[in-house]
Amino acid sequence: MVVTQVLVSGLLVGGIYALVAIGLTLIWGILDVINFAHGSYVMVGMYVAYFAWSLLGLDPLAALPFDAVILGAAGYLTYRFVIRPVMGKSALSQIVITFGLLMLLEGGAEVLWTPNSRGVPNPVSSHLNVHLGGIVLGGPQLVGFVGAILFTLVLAGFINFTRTGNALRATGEDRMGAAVMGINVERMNTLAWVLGLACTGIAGALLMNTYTVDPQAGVTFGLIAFIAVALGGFGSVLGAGIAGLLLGMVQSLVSLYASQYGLAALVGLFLVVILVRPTGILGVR
Amino acid sequence: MTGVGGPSLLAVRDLYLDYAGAVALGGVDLDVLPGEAVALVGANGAGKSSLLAAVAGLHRPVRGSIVFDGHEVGRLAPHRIIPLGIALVPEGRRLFPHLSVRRNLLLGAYHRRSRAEQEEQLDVVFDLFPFLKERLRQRAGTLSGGEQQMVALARALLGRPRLLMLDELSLGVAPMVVSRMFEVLARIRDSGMTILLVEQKLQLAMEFASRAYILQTGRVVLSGSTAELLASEDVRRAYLGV
Repeated sequence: MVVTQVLVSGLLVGGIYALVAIGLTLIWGILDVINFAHGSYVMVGMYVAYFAWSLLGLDPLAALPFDAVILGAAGYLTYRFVIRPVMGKSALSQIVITFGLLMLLEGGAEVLWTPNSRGVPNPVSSHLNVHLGGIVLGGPQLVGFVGAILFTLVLAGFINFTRTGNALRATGEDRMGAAVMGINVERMNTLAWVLGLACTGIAGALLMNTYTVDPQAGVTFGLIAFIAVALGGFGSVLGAGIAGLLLGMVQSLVSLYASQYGLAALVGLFLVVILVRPTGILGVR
Repeated sequence: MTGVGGPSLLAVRDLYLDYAGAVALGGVDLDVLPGEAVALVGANGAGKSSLLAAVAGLHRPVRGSIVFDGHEVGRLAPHRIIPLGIALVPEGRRLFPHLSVRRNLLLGAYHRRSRAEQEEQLDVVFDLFPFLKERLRQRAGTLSGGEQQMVALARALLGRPRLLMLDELSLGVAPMVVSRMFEVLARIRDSGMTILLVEQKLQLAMEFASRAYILQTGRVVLSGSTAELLASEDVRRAYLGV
């Protein structure tokens, strides 16, 4: 029973990992750029939800749409002013610039908002605990999971079944081929960043139901998202989603027996998969 | 440029283009009239592909103008040019390998929003390439080279272009398939499509087109009807190698 409870809790956290990872894989898949600052945007998304509560009295769930819009706008600005200048440049300069973003966001958060942890006490979702045959599904976690999965499905539907979604995929497959189809490749790049970071905004709002935020809060999420993307196969939305859920469960299970080693286990799993199957679980490249 | 009467569908004037730091085109003039098939020939690196890429907006010219159907397109981005009625089958096909054949085809009509128009054009393309019907759900990357080339051609036709540009269609495709493909192309040409093609296989290009331009290191050295060019012993020896 304990194991089941732990696995279920892990699955719930995994939903959020999946959402964050999908944002990362989207950006990677369309632009071939790894956003090392991805976790930092989750942190920013958490702060947005925190301030929506502390300044405006909004519950994290009510702040969610705003969080998505604000981080989506951050995605637009980031692409336009930071990423676009290094498109077509060496992979190293792209790595350095997104890593620089990470430092900037974390440093900026420390200066602006101090290193103290902040949390939203008593969010609406904390009254939504569900008891299911001896297993407790924590309200905030449950809401986070359902929200993450819903948004993931909407995003997957958009990418797979709309004209613009197809153009987005085409751009990821072959930029020049897409340009020749009359697809505005620049706009697709921008859209990938907007959607990718909107994911972090939503994740940030959902996380504020459970977690506290501090300037380093995003580091773990960034790392886990990166592992999920690698496991799922770079650029694969479905793969990143499944890997996110799996990582949540593995972390939760390992933490049960060796509480310090949850994250280490994920990195270990990452190494094993990379050695055995470098293209990831569902990888096609 | 002389000997071309009537308004050109495509008029290139004094076009200069740099590519990777080198001069790719150094003052090219070229006309394509509505309904004709024109070949660009010349050695590797003569600038043939660069010219097609410039017309499609993939490369920005340093100087000169490209006028398509009365619109100056020389400095527009591809997504503004393609909807005017230009399609390019690029070298190396540039299919979307993990997307289905159907999605690849429909992306060819990306700039045409009308669903009915897309379906109608799909039927036209199935008529030209019947094998496509059975392959619609297959990933484009799993097709043979020849089949992929035909998908690329079909995809270009889906946008109902008024100018069809073909870059090295025969590259990496079995000779049998090339001749089948050119049979289909001849049907497309005879239906009134305006075609500008770059082709490594000279004999093929010269037989297919009615006029040709011979490019050498970024300049047009000769142009005229393919019959004239082929008839001249000097031209054949110096430029055509046939």
